[in-house]
Amino acid sequence: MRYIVIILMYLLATYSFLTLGFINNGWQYVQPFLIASLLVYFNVENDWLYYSFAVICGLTADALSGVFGLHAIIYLTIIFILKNLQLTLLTSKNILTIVLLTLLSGIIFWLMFWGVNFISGWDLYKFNDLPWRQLLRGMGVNSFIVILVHLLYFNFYLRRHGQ
Amino acid sequence: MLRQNLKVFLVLLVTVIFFILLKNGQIFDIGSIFRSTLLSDKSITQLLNPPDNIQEAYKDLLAENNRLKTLVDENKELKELLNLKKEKQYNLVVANVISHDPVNRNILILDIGSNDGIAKGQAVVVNNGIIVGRIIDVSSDSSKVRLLIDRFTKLGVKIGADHQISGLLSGSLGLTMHLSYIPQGQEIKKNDLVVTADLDVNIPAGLVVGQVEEIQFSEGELFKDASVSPLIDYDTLAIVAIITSL
Repeated sequence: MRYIVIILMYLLATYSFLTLGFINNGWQYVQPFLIASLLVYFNVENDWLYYSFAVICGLTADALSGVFGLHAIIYLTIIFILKNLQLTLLTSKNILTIVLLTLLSGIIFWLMFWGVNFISGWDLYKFNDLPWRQLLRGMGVNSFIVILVHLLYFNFYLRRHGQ
Repeated sequence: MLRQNLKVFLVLLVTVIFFILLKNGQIFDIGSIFRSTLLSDKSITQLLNPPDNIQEAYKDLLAENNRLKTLVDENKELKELLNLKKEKQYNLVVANVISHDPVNRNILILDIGSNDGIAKGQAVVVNNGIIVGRIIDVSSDSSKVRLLIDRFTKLGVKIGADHQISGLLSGSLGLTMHLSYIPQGQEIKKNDLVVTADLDVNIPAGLVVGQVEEIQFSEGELFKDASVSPLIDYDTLAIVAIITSL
């Protein structure tokens, strides 16, 4: 059942990525693949599974963007940083930790893109006239979806199945 | 746990890098699967074969771009003149500069004349109240302006922050302007603003003329002299306004 949910999540993310990528509407700042990767990360114990899921999500995004491999590396790095934080500083699994990590993942995502753009001059996202308000709104939507789905999963699925 | 985390991360990072290397070597292109399904053959052909008239279209766009840039400049100048009209309550008539006088380049020919209420001696201004010259000749539908930089121009002006010091402005070989008859006892500095005095009934007081550039004086003289640099480039004047009544 869990694997079917993961596959569905992947398909939903792909569908959202393809349909929400409207230009000049701010929707490109909502990152469905990042949301899906985070949800899988928060709800799956197996290291190999959530890392592989992040890679597959990243490669799918990369297949449709200009620089192959960039999203995949960024997603991998985000998961790596979040996991390290959870093993060292933020060991608790309460909702505040989830909120903090989700917001942090959004910041890392844009920081890494900005860094790569700064170093190499790739214009995947136009950083010269980046609409910050839309970016923040996008991060808000990302976090909201992660928290909502996580809460639903935690309260309904896990409790019903007595885990 | 940290070591396990690092191990998984590195293994998958290497895998991604391997994919990237394969992709760049054109051995493995996962994107082609998506692209071929998403983009139809027609759109690919369109991208590969640009339209034939692209050069002509480029020229048209270039011409249109220049025209729009000119309109932007014109719009900016007109807005500034409109602000001047609102602030000072002058009656302004806007005119286009048609050409320079063939004999004297410091005389401009405007496209409006006595039919539009233009008369000899009226002040010609640009932007936010910078005076550039005076009407010297009027016909029914054109008029001539003598610029302040012309050597035959004479204009009473005031200098300094509180506009207390008087002087006489005259043109200087069409480049800068010359200030004379400034009393020795009066203190003027470089970059002091020069504005019109209220000596002429057709020219309102307080219109900006230029800035003091260099001051010359000697002990034995009664008056100081100074050169004044204009605040705008007189060669690029295209739209001006004439103050028809105060």
